[in-house]
Amino acid sequence: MTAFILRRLLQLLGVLAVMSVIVFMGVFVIGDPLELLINPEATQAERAAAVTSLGLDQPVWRQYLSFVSDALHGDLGRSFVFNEPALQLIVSRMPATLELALTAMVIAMIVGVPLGVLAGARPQSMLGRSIQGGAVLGFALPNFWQGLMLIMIFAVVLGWFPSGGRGETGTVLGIQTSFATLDGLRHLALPALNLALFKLALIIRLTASSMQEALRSDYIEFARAKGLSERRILGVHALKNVMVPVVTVAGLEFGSLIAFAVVTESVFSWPGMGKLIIDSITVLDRPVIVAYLLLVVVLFMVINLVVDILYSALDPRVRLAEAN
Amino acid sequence: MRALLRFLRTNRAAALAAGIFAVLAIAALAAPLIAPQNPYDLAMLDLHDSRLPPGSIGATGHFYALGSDVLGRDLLAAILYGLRMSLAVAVTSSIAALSLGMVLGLIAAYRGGRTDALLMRLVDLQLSFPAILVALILLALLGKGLDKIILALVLVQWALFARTARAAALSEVNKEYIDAARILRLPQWRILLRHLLPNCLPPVSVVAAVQMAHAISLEATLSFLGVGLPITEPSLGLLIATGFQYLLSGDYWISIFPGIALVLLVASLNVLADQLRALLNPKLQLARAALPPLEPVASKGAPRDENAVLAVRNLTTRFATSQGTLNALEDVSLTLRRGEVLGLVGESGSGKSVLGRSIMGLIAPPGRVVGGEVWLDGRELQSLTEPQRRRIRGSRMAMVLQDPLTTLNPVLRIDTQMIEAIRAHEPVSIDVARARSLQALESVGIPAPAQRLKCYPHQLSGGMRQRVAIAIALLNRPDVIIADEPTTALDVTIQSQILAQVQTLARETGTALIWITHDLGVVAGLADRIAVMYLGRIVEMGPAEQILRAPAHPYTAGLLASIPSRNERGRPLQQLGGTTPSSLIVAPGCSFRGRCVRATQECEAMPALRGAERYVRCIHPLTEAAA
Repeated sequence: MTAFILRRLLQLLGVLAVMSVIVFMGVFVIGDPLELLINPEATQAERAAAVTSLGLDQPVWRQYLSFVSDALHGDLGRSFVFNEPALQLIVSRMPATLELALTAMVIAMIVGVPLGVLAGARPQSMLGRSIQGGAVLGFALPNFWQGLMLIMIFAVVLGWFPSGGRGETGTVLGIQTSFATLDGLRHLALPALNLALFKLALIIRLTASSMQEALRSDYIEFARAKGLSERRILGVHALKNVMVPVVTVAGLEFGSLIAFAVVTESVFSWPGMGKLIIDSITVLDRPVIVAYLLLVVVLFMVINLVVDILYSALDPRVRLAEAN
Repeated sequence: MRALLRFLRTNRAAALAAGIFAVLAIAALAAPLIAPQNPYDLAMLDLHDSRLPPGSIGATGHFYALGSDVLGRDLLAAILYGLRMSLAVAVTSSIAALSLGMVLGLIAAYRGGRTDALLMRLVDLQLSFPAILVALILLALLGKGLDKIILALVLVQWALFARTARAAALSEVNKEYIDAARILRLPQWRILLRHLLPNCLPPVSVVAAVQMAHAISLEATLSFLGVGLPITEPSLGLLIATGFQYLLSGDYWISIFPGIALVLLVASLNVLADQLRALLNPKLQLARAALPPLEPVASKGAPRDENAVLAVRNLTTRFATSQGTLNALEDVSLTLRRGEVLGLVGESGSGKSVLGRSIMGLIAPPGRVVGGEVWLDGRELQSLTEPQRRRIRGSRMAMVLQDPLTTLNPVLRIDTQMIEAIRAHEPVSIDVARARSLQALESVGIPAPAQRLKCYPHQLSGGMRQRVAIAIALLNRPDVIIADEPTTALDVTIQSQILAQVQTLARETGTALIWITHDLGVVAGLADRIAVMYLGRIVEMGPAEQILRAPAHPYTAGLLASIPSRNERGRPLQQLGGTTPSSLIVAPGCSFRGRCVRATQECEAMPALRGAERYVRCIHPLTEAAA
């Protein structure tokens, strides 16, 4: 297991090295770093100073090395708008996004897996068909539109939940979170549901199709021949096999939740990383964009690693293959 | 084209989706005719008519059917131009991505090796990042604009096309005619393309439909976020974004109507793609096809045997298929005495496995036991409810399946799978159940059973796994075990070991066995009696040595003659002529007569199963001993 994790970490470092070259090329070689990284309103003297401090008069390989070394020290430039280090700015917005994504994933799993099991176990029934049909729509409709509809129904017409913002946060274990206050939870409900809908549809479809496949297998017939209850057959024998692909995909999709949070956060004015990046793109706050890009790449790599480890924990066959 | 039309006629969801899509597409194409005044012509803007509700008449007398937006534009016209733009962007980017992806996918499949590995690595990397993120980053670096959004959409879409095209191409590249072309130095590319394109098109067209919906949705989302199209271009996403701020104040139409247009467009494309996928996948089609109803069959009242532990009477099982009703089991009666071993023999498709599952009560839709009775120890099982039946399965009667590699659940440990089998029928503690499981493993000859209990199935060999399955069947000391070819998948040496062990165990515990096999050699040493099945019916049944020595039914004789070891060296091997006819086609008379040398006119009526101790279903039996 340790060797397995170590090998994956090495692979991760490799991909990171490649990504750093791509980002460097995008910003410094193809793009104009002066335009990208220096405030457009800077004076001529400030520009000259920046050229020296950025090392733009140096050869390309030296520029790359200093870019990497700066990045490793957490220095990815300062935001023009907030006049704060870009990385620090993004990290300060991260808890709000993670909280949103985590809640959405929990909603998607808790609702999606049982619905998927039902749809997979009784695909021809009225209930099974409606669940599947709902999943097709949940999958098809643009996420921001679903968000608008949620606001329209639950905030404007029914008035149950606020239409946007994060509301009051409390402190739990030193982290500012919406989970601590009722107002925070009320503000979290709609955006989390919005973000969850797309993944919910995905998890339903995946669970249902894996379920149908599992139910056709010999081990299910053998379990029936043992006289096990339908509950145990579906809930243990089939579900444990279904959970292997579902957890893998859910884990992989956690990254995409953070990406889609960009949309949800904009619709619900949720003060997370996603809203920050959209605002930064609108006002051309490029250091923030570059920092976000690098951070998201790292985040994705870490998520992939965690999913791999989880996957091997769930499926004993993978454990064996890795051990050999 | 004709196939497509038939598909639309028979599939309501697809027809509805196609209709909606066609209406929207035609309206978008005809936008300049429906709304001759381009709402995006800056000179025509009339701010006096800002945010008029649907059905109003503006200052200049213009009728706003769907109301107007913030800038006083006719919303209907704006939506039509927006749809036009959505479709243009989606079609352009999808065609470009399709071309790029197909070319790269085909190159990867054709070149193989390093090129393939590198391209697929790139595809994987691209697909591991969500499309919206990639597009967002690209637009952040490139800036807004129509050309840039199309470029971004192509870059997020090509990978899926490449992967699909490669998969379809690979199945073709490995075929022999390509090798032949290579050896003959023929222009392989041209040959390949001629065969590849028809092969690639179905899966690629499904991907294209999905990707077009995706592109429309993505463009709208990016424009809504303010990073896609500039405000001067028509776009549904931008319309919705400008209307969004007025949603809370009650001017719902500015965002709702463009939203409905967008949703209809995207949803109709998605449903179409979904239905197309089902059309291309025969497995899904079968599940959707309307199945004929199965009518119950009246019991014919076979004689009862008071000594029998298991008595099957007139059991009939049918399967509903899209081609009609399949008579898998037709009026089967047999009895089994305590501790007796019955060998159930027949070719593939003779119904022997269906008989085993019908006795167990494991026939699931589209199959059904439509008639007959199953008596176990004086109790009729067919009239029981499913929960009552379940309590008998695994305790009074058990089953062992053919393939030991797939019988055990791969993600559950052996002990879990054994303990649950005991506790499903008896309220004993886990420790007691574990101890009994250990004993059962010992009794089937598994070395170090305590360690094996903690194993996952994949850690054991095939023979070991089948012993575990047999141990599970034995756990609750059942009256009957139905073994469905349990040794077919194993080595000959392991097979004989397991056979000997099972025979001993059955004798010790008094468990009766139905041993299903197509191998007469296996039953010869094991069975007390033999039943031979052909096309869902028992054609001969009786004491094993009698049947093996002097078969009465021509089919049994044919089966025996085809065993290689029974033939003399040097003599040509006998074989049974013809093939088993389909049980879908129900012809009157003896079902074997087409392959039988002794068949006459009389065989056109189905012969009855005649006899007392020895039964045969034949008008011209080989020995009269049976009759």
